[in-house]
Amino acid sequence: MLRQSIKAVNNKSLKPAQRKYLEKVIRVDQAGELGADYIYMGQHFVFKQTLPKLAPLIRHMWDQEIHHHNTFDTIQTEGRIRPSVFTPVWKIAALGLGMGTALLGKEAAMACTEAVETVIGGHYNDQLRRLSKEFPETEEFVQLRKLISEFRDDELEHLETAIENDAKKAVPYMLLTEAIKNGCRGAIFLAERF
Amino acid sequence: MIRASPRFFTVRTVQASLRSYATAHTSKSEVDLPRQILERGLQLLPEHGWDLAPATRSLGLSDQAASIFPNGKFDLLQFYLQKQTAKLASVQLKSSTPDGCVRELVHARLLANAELGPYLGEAVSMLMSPKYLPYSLEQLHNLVDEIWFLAGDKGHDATWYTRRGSLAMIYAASESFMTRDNSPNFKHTLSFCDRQLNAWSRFEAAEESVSEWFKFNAIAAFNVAKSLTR
Ligand SMILES: [Fe+2]
Ligand SMILES: [Fe+2]
Repeated sequence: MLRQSIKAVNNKSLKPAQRKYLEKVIRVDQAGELGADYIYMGQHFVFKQTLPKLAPLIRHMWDQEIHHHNTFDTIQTEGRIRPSVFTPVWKIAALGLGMGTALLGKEAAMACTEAVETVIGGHYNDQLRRLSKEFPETEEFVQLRKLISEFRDDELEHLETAIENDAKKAVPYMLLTEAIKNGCRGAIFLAERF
Repeated sequence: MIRASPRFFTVRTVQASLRSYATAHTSKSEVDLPRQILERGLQLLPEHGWDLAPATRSLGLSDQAASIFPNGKFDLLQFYLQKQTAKLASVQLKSSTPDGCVRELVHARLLANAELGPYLGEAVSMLMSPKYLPYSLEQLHNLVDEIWFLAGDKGHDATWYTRRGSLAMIYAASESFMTRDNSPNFKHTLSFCDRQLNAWSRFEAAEESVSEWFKFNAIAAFNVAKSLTR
């Protein structure tokens, strides 16, 4: 799936606009998964000390994010795509968001996960729609879509985990999740372009 | 990426068409004519420099034929640079570290300039002229991007930019040093280049440890803040 996805990105018969779109997709997804990786890194670090029984659950999600992150790193290198210019900013912001929400407590951390995964899941769906509409039905593009939909399913699983773990009990719930969602949308806007 | 302004329009068009000549149309000779002229131009390069008229003449065409290249000499230079960048993929690398591979590739690329003789200086001044600078920078970026890729660079963050930016500066500086270098086998150019590369890797190592330090200290700082506010 990874090999085929790299082939898709490097496909020489693509129109310049199509290649450009794929570059945007890989750049923003790489930045997003880096963010997710660092958010869970921050949460895991805090919960290991404040709420050890929650740490394994976070660790499980974190491991999946590390896999997503590594995958997009490889596609970015092999696909000859520049990473987002704001990478250092994403790192600091995500680590801060992860540690900050975890310090607020379990509910806030879960509300953070809920917000982030809602936006990311929706974003992956938008990409999948465009990838199936505007790209050929050849093996490599089928596999690229498969890779993205697999990751999307993981994100939706994280979303369910967050809701099961009292994400909605965070006070003031709406304010926190909406703020984080808007932050994510802003980051997507910037990472796609720069 | 550089935007096409009207002033650079002609350069952009020829570049775009060069790119498509390179991929498609390898059999139809009439479509291939510009490429044929450029290829011949490269063959005649050591004797005639960047001028395209000798190439058209030797193909039995009138001097007028060279006018399909609106930027004349610079079009041949761009073609030359693209070819040189593409050639790097066949360099047999001996080093096991990315830094070592970068050094080998930069040396290989610099030494390829040796055949240009007196025309290297003219190339460097064309590349630096304001009219062509955006395209020169694009070629330079393609070169250093290829070098880092071949060397196995796995930069996913700011290092992706800093590595390309610094190598571009080192390469450009070494190349202009080369125009004034009369030492045998460009010994002085290579050692000039090595000094810059060494300084850069020392700097990068220091910078990397700073960002690692920052990551762990950010975690530690939060921890301290938390214990203080409890
Ligand atoms: Fe993910
Ligand atoms: Fe996730």
